[in-house]
Amino acid sequence: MPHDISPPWRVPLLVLAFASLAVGTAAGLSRLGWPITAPAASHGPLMIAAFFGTVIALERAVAIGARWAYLGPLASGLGGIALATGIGGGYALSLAAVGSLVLFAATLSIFARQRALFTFTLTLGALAWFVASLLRIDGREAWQVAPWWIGFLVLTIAGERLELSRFLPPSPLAQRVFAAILAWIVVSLIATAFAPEPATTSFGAALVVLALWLLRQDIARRTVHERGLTRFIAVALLAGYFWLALGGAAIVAAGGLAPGSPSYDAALHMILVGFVFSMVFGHAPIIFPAVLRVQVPYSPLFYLPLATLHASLVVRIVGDYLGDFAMRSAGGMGNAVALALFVLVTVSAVVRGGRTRIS
Amino acid sequence: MAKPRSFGDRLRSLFGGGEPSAAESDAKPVDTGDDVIVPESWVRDALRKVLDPEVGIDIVELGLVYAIETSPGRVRVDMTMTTPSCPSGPQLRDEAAYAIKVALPEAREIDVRLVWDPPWTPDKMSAAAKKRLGWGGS
Repeated sequence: MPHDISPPWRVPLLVLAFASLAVGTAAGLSRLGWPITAPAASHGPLMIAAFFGTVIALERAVAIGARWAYLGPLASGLGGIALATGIGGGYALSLAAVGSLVLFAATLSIFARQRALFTFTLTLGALAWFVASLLRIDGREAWQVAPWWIGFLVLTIAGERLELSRFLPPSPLAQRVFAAILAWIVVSLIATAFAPEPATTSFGAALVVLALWLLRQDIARRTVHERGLTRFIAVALLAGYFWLALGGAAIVAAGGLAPGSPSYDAALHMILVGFVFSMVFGHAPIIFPAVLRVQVPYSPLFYLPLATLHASLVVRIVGDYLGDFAMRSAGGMGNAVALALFVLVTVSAVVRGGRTRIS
Repeated sequence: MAKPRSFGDRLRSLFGGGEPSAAESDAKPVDTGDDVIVPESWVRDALRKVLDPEVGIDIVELGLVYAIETSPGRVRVDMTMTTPSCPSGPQLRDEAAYAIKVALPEAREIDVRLVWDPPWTPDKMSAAAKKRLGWGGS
């Protein structure tokens, strides 16, 4: 495509994203008491805006193949560097806002081309990130915008899964239920401005219902009976839906997201580690070839980081609810080890696959 | 290098698609002197090697291949994705071109285009793909 950028030019954008992932993970570990020097206060923005935001914006830019769309991942990626180096939180906020605005515009262009419930859902997801970015510029703390950040990631994934569910189309009733859940999520997010606790609780309940909808409608239920990569993706998704439901339930049980409470750490990480990262692990073997045009041949080793992720998350969550800080820290370190294993296994698969012979 | 005919038959047997149809088994390349026109069915068979990794089914069965045109030494394919929001489009397009190049060395010029009109709809899938994905409540 003449207006696209060639795969080698996309590499620096991914490097920015993974640098934020590394520093963001280190920041998370320092919060859990591990003797690591890292910008602990920037853990959330580094993981959500600088890592997830950048990879999602990059994926969307590749999909539409337009140069301007790459400004999104460039901006949010540079925002991550500003946070990681401590150069300036102000720059980071502005860069995240630019990144989310470009992602929103790119997604809107897809919606204009294909008006469907799933493209609308993706658009709402991008908009949720933009709203979160504006709220951050307006001075809200990370914990205050957490529902919007979760909304960004959950709606993005739900939109993509709704698209794939067309391989086994949901009934008209099921589609109406999805639209109702979408409305529920959006209304809850808006209401967080007026009544944070009840609105966040309502948001948590909507996430539980969404997880149940996805568990019932996703083609992963079928493709889990296939083999190789197809099965691996399905396993990662189904495990993720389980955590999404539990995370939503944890928000409901706690009556919101109170920062510093055990349920805050538990709910956020059930959703963001158990659901979102599981989805990332599952789709990396598809997304890396799409973005970088390298081959990522499937290997049963892919299950190693996935199993580590879920097992260590169980330890962390049990530690949260038992009030056992050492257990929670150990689980958090397990999460970090899972991320390191994921990078290692993916890079070794790329090396094994060699550069694609496809010109 | 596999011979085109046996390549297609092997793919068919791998996919469980049964015996080639009478028309397909009769298909032969047309030698026009300098170049050869490969049968459309051979191109289609080559494209069966390109799988959508998410569902493990090939792009022909998923109804993503819209048109195949063959002329002396040339193959042109119009294919689509289920949505323009899918980032795998350019990669699957290149995989399709590579699959044709490997299976049909007679084709000197291969042009695979991504098209979005008409948009893909689930009814474009083959009966076998629908069955495998659980249509009809199976």
